[in-house]
Amino acid sequence: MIEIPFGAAEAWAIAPFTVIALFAMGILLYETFRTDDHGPELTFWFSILGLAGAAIASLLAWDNGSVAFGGTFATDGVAVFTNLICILAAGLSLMMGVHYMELIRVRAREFQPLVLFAVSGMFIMGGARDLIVLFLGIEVMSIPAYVLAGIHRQDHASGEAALKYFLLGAFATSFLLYGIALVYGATGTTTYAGISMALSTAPHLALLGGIALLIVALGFKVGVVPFHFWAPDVYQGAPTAVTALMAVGIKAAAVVGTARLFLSGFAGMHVEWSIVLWWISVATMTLGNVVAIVQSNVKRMLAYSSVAHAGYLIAAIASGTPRGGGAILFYLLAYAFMNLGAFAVVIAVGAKDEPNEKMSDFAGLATRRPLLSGAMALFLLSLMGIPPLVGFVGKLYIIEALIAAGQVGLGVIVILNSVVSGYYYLRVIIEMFMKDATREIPALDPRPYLMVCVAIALAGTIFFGIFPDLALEAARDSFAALR
Amino acid sequence: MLNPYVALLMSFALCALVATIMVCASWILGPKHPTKTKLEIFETGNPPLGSLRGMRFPVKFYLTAILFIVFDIEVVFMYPWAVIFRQLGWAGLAEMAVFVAVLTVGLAYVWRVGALEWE
Repeated sequence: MIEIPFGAAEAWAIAPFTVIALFAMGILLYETFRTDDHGPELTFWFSILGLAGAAIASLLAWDNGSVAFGGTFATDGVAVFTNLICILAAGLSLMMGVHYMELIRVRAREFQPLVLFAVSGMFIMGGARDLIVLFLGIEVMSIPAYVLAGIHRQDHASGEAALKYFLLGAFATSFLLYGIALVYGATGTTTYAGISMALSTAPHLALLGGIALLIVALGFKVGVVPFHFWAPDVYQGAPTAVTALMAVGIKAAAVVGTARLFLSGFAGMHVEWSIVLWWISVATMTLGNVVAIVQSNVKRMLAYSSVAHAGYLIAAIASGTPRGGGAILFYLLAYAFMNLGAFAVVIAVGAKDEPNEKMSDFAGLATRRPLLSGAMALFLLSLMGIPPLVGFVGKLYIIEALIAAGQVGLGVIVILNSVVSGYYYLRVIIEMFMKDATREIPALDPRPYLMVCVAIALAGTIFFGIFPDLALEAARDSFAALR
Repeated sequence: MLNPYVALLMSFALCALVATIMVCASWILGPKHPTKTKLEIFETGNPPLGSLRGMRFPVKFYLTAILFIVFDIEVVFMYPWAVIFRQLGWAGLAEMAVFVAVLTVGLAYVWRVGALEWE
């Protein structure tokens, strides 16, 4: 008789993604079996219900002490925090999608279920304490994302984005499996707990090779230099609502998956991997910021900016301390609010058959849409790191964690890069407020969902900028309790 | 210290070597008398009608092949399950029921969007 371990811990561990997968399947079946067409609103609210259910399930499952499935899956604070960030990202992306899919004339009934399926994969990544579970999470998250990138089927850029993302993603997956195989060969186990115990006795070369391959694979998913080449094309080509999900949700899950692996499984080899992550981080933020400067398309600029932000996050992992881990979680929350807000504004500026994503399309926006321009200005200032907005606090804690870990040099590079990023963020603000419109842009019909989305993102950007303690304490405690 | 797996590696190398020698030897030593009839497609095959480049074939073959591969791979998971079915007991049956239920959702979707219709 083979015992399948299934107790209370296991039931709670799978509760969040069971809820979300059930809703995703339900919506998919409803959408395919209904005969009349009554818009995306009803299923949107069902998706929100599913996300809310998953959020409640995550909070109820929160237990720092217990691990499920033989120690391969955790429902600790890190997992719960990640789940909530991913739920936020998915919820706001779906909210953008309600109008946006109409705008680009896509009647894809698969959009909402695919987003939910991708979120279930992000949940698995957030709680993975085993390389195989991490692999499972990456795949469950990525496969819907490949389809989502190409969901605008009439658009060549969207198809190109999907194909690029898929081919390079498949390539990264093979790197991941090679890395897992080498680490397994060296340590005899795939669980993080087992790996961290076997580090001292394991053959060094195989272990280093395995870690290097894992960095390549995870670096691809996070989008760090030199594995970032897909990111600008995919982010620009994919429909903007999908780009928002990829730039925030997928990045958050991948960063947390990486952080948990390195801060718990490979913690004993910090000296070896931190130098690699140091260089990757510096290259990523510098290249992302410098290349963003020359972009004339706001969506592509935001894509490069998201590469730069990945650099800041990797810097916090390189610190190798739980404090750095806490800074990552808080930064991801901050990044979710401000970046989703910026993408929502990009959608709001677009009209039917006119994406209006160029820098010049933003010229004189302040006279036509003062509130929207004001919101965009705040999102961009927050991305740059100006107090009292949330982006400032996020950067502050990353730099503080770096200094506490003795990596003062890396902290200084983060600050210098923030200064560089000011150039392109401020350029959009200058276009909006100080220039006149270059051409007539027709008045747009009101889009309540999109405006609510901007409002939520703005509220989060300001609220957590002024009262960061609430989320910060939770973020720090969760990584401090990481085992 | 000789790793016991070295024997396995040597066996692989030997297999590769023998196979290469046999293929190469028959290619080099074998007599070749190509005639027009010999170069044609054997018996039941149709003679090719023009070049393959730029030829279009219906996308429905592609879709069917994709669907076949997807469901084929899913069924592969059932073989190891079936082998230890008795040891797994009711828990194993419940797990497979969940798996098949999810698969059925996929099949229902594929059916409703019309991917199974040939025309």
